[in-house]
Amino acid sequence: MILQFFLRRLLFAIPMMFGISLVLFLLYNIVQVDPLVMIVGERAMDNPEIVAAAVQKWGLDRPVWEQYLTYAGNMLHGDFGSSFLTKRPVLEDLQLFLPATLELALSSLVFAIAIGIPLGVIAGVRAGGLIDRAAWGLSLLNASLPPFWTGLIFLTIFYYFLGIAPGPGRLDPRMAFPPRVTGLVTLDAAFAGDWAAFANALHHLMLPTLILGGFTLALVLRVVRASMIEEMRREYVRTARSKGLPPRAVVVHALRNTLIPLVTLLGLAFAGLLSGAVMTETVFDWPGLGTYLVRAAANLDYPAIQGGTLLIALIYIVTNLIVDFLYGVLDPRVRLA
Amino acid sequence: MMKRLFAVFALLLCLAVAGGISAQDAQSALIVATQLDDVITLDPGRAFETTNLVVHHATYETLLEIRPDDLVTIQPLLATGYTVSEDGLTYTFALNPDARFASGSPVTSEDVRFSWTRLKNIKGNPSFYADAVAAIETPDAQTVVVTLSAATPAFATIVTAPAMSILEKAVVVANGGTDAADADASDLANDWLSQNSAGSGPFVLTGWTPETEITMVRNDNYWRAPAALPAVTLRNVNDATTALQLLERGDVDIYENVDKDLAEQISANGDLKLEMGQTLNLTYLALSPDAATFTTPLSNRQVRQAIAQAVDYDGIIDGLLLGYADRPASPLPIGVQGSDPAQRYERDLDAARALLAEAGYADGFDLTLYIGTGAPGGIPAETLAAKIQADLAEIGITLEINQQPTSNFLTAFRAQELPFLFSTWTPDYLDATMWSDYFSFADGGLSKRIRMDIPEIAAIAQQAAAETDATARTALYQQYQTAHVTEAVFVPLFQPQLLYALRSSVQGFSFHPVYFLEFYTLSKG
Repeated sequence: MILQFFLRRLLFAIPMMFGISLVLFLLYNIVQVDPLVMIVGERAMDNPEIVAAAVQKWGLDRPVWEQYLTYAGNMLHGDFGSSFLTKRPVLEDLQLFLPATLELALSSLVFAIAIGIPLGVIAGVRAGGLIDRAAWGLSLLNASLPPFWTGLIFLTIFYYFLGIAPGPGRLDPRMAFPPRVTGLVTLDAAFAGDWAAFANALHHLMLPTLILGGFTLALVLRVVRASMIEEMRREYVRTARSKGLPPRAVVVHALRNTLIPLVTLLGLAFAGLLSGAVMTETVFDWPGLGTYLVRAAANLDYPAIQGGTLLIALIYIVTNLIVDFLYGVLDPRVRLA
Repeated sequence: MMKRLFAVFALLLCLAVAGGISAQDAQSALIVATQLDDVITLDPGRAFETTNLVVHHATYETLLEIRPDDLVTIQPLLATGYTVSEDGLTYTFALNPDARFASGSPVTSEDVRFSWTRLKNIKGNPSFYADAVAAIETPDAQTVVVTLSAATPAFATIVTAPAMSILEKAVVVANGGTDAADADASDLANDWLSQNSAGSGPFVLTGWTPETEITMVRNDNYWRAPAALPAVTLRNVNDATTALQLLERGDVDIYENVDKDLAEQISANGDLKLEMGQTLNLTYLALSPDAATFTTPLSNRQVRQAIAQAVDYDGIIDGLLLGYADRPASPLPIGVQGSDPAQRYERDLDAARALLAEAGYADGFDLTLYIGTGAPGGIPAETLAAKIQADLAEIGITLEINQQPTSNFLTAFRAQELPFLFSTWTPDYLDATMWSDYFSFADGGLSKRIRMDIPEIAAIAQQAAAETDATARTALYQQYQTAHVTEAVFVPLFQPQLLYALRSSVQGFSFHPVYFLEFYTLSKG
C-alpha cells in the first residue's frame, strides 16, 4: 500500500522533470548564446581544427530540436551531459558539490529543530513572557538580516577578533582532508578515524550553521509558538488540565498536534536549505551546490544549469513526498490516497 | 527524549570548540589564499586557465626557462642548451644528463617527444603551443631534434611556457595517457593528472579539490637543490576582507591578487608586507580604421589620434587603479623588446579638438563603445566605459555604451562586427611575437577582428618576427611601436600590477608575468 503510493508519486515526477527540462532548454535557446568560446577558450577560437572538433564533440552543429531529443534521451539513461565549463559529466559535478551543501543543510536543520522547538513551546505556553519576547526579537533579527552580511560580521567578531571560531572553509588550511567517501567531511573523518579532522570539521560548521540555520530556526519558532498558543486554548487541553494532568504532560500532549504544520514547514525549509544557501556558501568558501549553480548561470553553462535545476526539482519532489508520508504517520486521519 | 537530544547536541558543540585548538599540524607548509574557481583540469596537455600555471611551474619543468629577474634571457633548465639550423627550421636540444623526474627516472628525449606530441594531438585549448612543431626525432636519449613547419624565431621562448612541460612518459601511459594521433579521444590521463603530477619540478602535486584547495609537497628526489618549503597549499578564499583576516591571523602565509583598496591597510601592518608584480597584461582601446564595412569617423586617422589624446589616462590609473598600473605606448607592454613608454599619448584636449576640427568633426559626433561584462585590471567594465564616455564628451564625442555578456561580446568581436571597443590581452609566453602576431595582420589575430589592414605595420611585424639578430630585432620592434602610435588603432589604457600580501616571515618572493609565483625560491623564516 505504502509502496504503491510512493511509486505512483514518483512516476508523476518523471513527466514533471521532462517538462522542466524542456522549459529550461527553450529559455536557453531564447537567450542565444554561443557556448563555443567557453568550451575551447578565447585563444583556440582562431584554430579552425580545434573549433571544428569541439562543435562536433558537443553536437553544436545539430538542429535545436535534435539537441533536445538527444539530451532527453540521455536523461533516461541517467546521463545529464557534460558541463561546458568544467568538462566533467554534470552528474559527477553534482556529486562533488552536493555533499558540502547537504552537510551544511543537515547541520542547520538539526540546529533549527533542537533550539527552535523548545523555545517555541516555551514562548507559546508563556505567551507574552520574557522568553517569548526575546525569542520574537531574535527571530525578527534572523529573518531580516541578509546572511552575507551576518556571515562577514560573525567571521570578523568570532574568528578575527575573538578567535573562538575558525575561519572560512570546511577545514583549517593546515589540516588535511580525510579520504573522500561520502563527501561529508565530518562523516568521512569519522570513517577514517581521524578525530582531529572530525572535530575541526564540526567547528567549521559552527558559524555557517548559526547563520543558515538561524533563519530556519526563526521559522520553526514562530510556527511552534503559534500552534502552541492555538492548541493550548483547545478543549482537550482544558479537559486534560481539569483532570489534574501535570503541566508538562499537557504540553507534550499539545505539542503532538503542532507537528503537522511543523513537518510541512521543515520539508520546505530543508529543500530551501539545499538550494538556496548561495550567500552563506560564498562568504564561508563552502563549495556547495549554490556556488556551482551561480557560476554555471554566470557562464551560461547550459548542461550544468539544466542538471542542477533538475536536481533541485527532484529534491523538492522527494521532500514533499516524505512530508506527505509523515502526515499519515502523525495523523491517522490523513489517508494515503 | 528531548534531554538526550540536548546532551548529544552539547557534546557535539564541545567537540567542535575543542577542534579549533588541536589543529596545529603542518605549521611549516606554505598556505596561499587565492581563487581556484578557474581550475578545470591540471593536466598540462589540457589546462589553459590561470591558476594551473603556478601549479605546473612548481611541479613540472621545461627544457628552457625565463627567470623572473631577467625577462629577455632564455636560460637552460632540462636542456643544457640548443642550436638552431641555418634556415631556422631545426632546433636541436641537448638534455641535462642529471635531470630526474620525481620518480627518480632520468628525463629522456623520448619523454620530450611524448609530451609535446601528446600536447599537440589532444587538440585541447593549449595545443596551439605546439602548432609550429612538424616532427620530433630522438637520435639518442639525451638529444631532441625538432623540425618546425615554418621558421619560428620565438620557438625557444615558446619552449619555456608551462604548457610545454615535460611529463614522464611511463607514468602518464600507466595512467591512461597516450600521444597517438587520436589522443583527443583516446587519452584518458586527465583525471589522474588532475590529482597527481608526473614531472621533474621541485614539488609534487598531491591533490585538487575543486573550489577548495590544491596541495603539493616537496619533491625529495629533486635533481637540483631541494626546495625550502616542505609543502604548499593553494586555498580558495572568495572574499577579500576574509582573505586579509586569514593572513593577519597567520592561517595563510600569502594572499594573492590583493584587492587594491586593502593595500594601505596591509602596508600599515608590521606583521605583513606588500609585494608588487608587474604583469605584461594589456587593457587596450581598439579603434577600427576600416571604412569599407564600418561607417564611423574612426576610419580617419586624425579622429583616432584625437581620441587617443582625449582619454584621461592618469585619471584611470590613479583614480580607478589607485596607481597600481603602468602604461605602454603601443600593444607591446613595458618590459617587452622594443617597448618604450616615452612615446605614449598623453591627454591634450586642445590638440585633440584641433585634430577633430581638421578632420571635419569640429562639432563632434556620436559613437558606440562595445564592452563585455568583465573587470579588466579589477575595474568593472562599465565603470571604465563611463570614464571614457566622460573623457570623450569633453571633445564633443557623444559615446553610447553597449554592454553585453562577455561571451556575446567576444563572439561579435570575432565576427568583425565591432568598430570601437576595449578588451584585454594576456601573454602565454614572453616573445614580442606574442603581441606582434596578434596586433598586426589583416588576416589574423585581433587586428583582423577590427578589420585593420595597414600594410606598413604588417610588414614590420613580419620582418621583426623573422629577425634572429637581437639588436636588429629590437630596432624593428621600436619601428613597430612608432607605426602603431601614429595609426592609433590599438591604444593601450593600462598594464596592471598584481599585489601580493605576505607574512613578514615569508622570504624570497619573485613575480613572473607568465606563471606568477615561484614556490621553489620561497622560504618561511
